[in-house]
Amino acid sequence: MSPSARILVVDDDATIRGILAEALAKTGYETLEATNGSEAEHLARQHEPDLVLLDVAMPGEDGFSVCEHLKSEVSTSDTPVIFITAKTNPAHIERAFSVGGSDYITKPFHMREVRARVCAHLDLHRAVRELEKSQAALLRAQKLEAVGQLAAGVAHEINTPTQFVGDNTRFLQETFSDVVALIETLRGLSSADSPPPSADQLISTIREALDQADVDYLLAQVPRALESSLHGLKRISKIVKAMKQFSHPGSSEKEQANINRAIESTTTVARNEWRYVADLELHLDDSLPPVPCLLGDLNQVILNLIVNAAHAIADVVGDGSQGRGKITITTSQVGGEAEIRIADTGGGIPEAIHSKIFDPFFTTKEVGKGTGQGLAIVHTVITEGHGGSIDVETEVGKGTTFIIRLPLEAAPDRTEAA
Amino acid sequence: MKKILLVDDDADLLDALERNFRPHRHTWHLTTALNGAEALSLLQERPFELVITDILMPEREGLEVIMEVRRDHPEIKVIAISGGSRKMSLDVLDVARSFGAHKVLAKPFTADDLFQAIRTLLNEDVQASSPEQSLS
Repeated sequence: MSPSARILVVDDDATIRGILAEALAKTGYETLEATNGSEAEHLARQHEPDLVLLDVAMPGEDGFSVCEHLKSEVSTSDTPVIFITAKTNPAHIERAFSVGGSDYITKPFHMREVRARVCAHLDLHRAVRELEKSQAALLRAQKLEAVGQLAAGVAHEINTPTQFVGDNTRFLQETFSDVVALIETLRGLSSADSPPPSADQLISTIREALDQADVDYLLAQVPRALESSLHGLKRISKIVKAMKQFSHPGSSEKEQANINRAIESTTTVARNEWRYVADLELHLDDSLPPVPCLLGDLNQVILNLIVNAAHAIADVVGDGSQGRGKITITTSQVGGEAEIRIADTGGGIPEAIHSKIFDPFFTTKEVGKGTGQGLAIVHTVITEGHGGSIDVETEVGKGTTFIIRLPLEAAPDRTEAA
Repeated sequence: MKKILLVDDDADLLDALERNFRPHRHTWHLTTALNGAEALSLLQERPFELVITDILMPEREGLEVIMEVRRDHPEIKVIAISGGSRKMSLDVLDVARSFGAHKVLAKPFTADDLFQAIRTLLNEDVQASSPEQSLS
């Protein structure tokens, strides 16, 4: 039997209602009773039952209409509804399922059958909930893993400019002491205390001091050192900003986001993953309107696809010693959707595995290198999380393009857990 | 004058270190290369006493440079420099050491650290500064 659950029994006939409620209570369920449609909807909103047993023919609002209302409310849209009715007409049965009913029991009913069906639907509902929770947990785990993996790359990207900004600063520090020495010499020459030197002496002392300070070199190199340091600081600040954008905590509500910027920041934090094997080109449509999305999840999708593209290219070009590949990311508006294309010049996907690439646990990578979750998560986030679509165009020996389409108008949110 | 080859794929970094070498121009002659392939061809053309190489570079990584130097020019001293690794689980400088680098420096290091390492390696005899482990 399912563990304790709350069941709402709706029937205008007090006898039937009583029999059902009593039998279910004896089985260990908590029961609620409603005598008509509006009372049923009120109790459902208030107590959020785990299952509803619903009569069809009732005075006032009928069971089909009650079911439609329950399905349209966020708090009860997932609650299984089992119709119990004397109506056995096929049109009625069809209507029961079309308004969102999970099952249909005809009167006169056998209590054992009712109990068995209630138990089965509660178990099924619970299993789906568990699956949704695990999927959300998996996404979080994969995101943490990716952030950890990126951290090594980001450290590398920050350490290099930190190195040369430090070297430039040290050079400028030493340069300044040379310039101070030069100024001291000039001051000495202009001092009233010392006897006035001859013109020849003056010229030779100044020349010597200028040589000593390596002035020609300083005049050429100081501006370059300053420019290079500013450039280095800009690089550091760019990657820190991108990391902040990428690790956006990710709201459970969709927000209007600039996906071009999300792509730019994700390619920046992931630079270390692709830059040794590929060049990356961005063709981002500036006129693309904001897209309603779960930004943290979308960042994760883009990251997964970039890392996959880099791996596909690395399989062809090795560590970069056999040429370089290319990753091209393009955004555009296609009708009422935003389209993101991520194309690589890797080896392509063999036809035999086309249909499996989005399956959880399917991987072509060697043991320890891939969990087989990357593309499965991409698929879930795009289709279930955003009501969008993902397609793949691939040719063995030429490369692969993933095409994501996201609706520009937000669909009703049914993915709070994700 | 001792000849030193500095290899890094970041042009800004090469320029900045080169400026720091300027005061030592009468003792050390510095040549720079932007990738492993360029470094290896320079090593074929002329002799060097010391090679300072970055590890993660496109077109022939630093590890290849170290391997080839250790194999073809065992008398040349090697300093490996790196700002990190592609994977957290792997410290590339440890790998560089096991490939035969005599010294390793993690970026960011100070120019003084580098100069001290150069002095140590160029003044010591080959025996005393032989790599901890070299590839046969």
